[in-house]
Amino acid sequence: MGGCKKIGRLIGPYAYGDLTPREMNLVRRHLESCSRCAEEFKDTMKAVEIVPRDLPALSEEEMMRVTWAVKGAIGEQRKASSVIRRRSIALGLAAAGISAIAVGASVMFRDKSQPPAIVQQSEPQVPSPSPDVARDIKEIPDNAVRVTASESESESPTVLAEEPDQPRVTFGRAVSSLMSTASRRGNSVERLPGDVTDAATEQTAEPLPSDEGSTELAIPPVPDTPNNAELLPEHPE
Amino acid sequence: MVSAEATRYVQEDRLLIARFKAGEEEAFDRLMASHLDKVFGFAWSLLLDREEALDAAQEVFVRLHAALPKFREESNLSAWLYRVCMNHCIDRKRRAKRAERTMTEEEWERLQGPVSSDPLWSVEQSELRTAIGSAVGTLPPRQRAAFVLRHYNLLSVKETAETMGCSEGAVKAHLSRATATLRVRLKEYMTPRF
Repeated sequence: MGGCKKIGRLIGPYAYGDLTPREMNLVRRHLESCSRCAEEFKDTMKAVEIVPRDLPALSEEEMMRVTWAVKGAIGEQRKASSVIRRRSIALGLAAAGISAIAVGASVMFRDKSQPPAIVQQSEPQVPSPSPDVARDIKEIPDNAVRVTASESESESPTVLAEEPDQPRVTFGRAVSSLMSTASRRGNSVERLPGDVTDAATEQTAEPLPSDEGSTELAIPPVPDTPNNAELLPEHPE
Repeated sequence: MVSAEATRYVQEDRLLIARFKAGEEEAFDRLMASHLDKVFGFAWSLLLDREEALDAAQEVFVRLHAALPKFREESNLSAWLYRVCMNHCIDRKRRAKRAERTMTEEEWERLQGPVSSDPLWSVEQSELRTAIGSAVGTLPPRQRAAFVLRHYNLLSVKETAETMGCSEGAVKAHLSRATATLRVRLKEYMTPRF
């Protein structure tokens, strides 16, 4: 019988009266004419009847236990959520304070510092010297001293170029620092290939007497300043 | 097909939910008192463990308390409770990866009611309870949920479908497979000796 498979799928819900009236009629008529399906339905009903109809009930003590456990858990949740709320507010205030300090600090630094030019040893592209430097170079007196850079490698310009995190230094300051140190030692500076000064500086400066293969920079004498640290770049706090 | 009694319970639930939303904490206690027994029974039928079922029922009502402020008025609280309970029990079983267990003697006695003094009857009942527990316990979780919700008349087909997040046709299919499994597994216990 072609309908047995379809009816077989409806027998379970039929036993519980869960079919639509149309489906109920369909199954009822089929069971009247098909003994095999009728037998299946009878066994299904027996199986359903064997399984008890009552769910286990809670005892009075269990009822109280669950009720108090639920209330306790709700209380804990409330406590936890209030702590989280308080912490969120405190964190929000702290974040706002830090932001305000950061903004204030950035405004202060912007006011005080010059727009920086980067000094890099590895990349010889240095921006044009400031007008101060050009003037210094032009106004070189006759008693200018030569400082050999190789002898002062350990001085600040080299260190500055090697440490990317160091503060950015203006070209004028770096040269002044180098010159002051050198003048104190009475040395001469020999520019290394790829060193700080560049073609831009040479274009603005007057031609100086130089040896072949090495560019020399004539530097005016700088008075020996005990407080040489003033010439060094400032480290931000 | 929703009975008048069921409609009355639904209306009572809605009233209590509204009172809870208005700030009356006692309304939650009354909701819990009226649903705890059935939720526990449903959890027990899925977990077949009394302590686990108590824990599951507790968890369901903690979640209800958190969900009530945003509970929609038109929602069916019973369906919501059984759905949360079903999902929680399935998760619980999955996490624990426990082997399916059968009912304990005590659990069976609670179901069976008064026990005959006939020793033969007692042995037979013991066998039967083991067989039923084993048969129900081996049903896949969703088949078991559909069977329990309908067999214990906890919800209508429509509400069961809502609870299980499936169509009414799917509920009937689960019910059909569950009863077919029980019929096969309990066949030898259907003789007149019982």
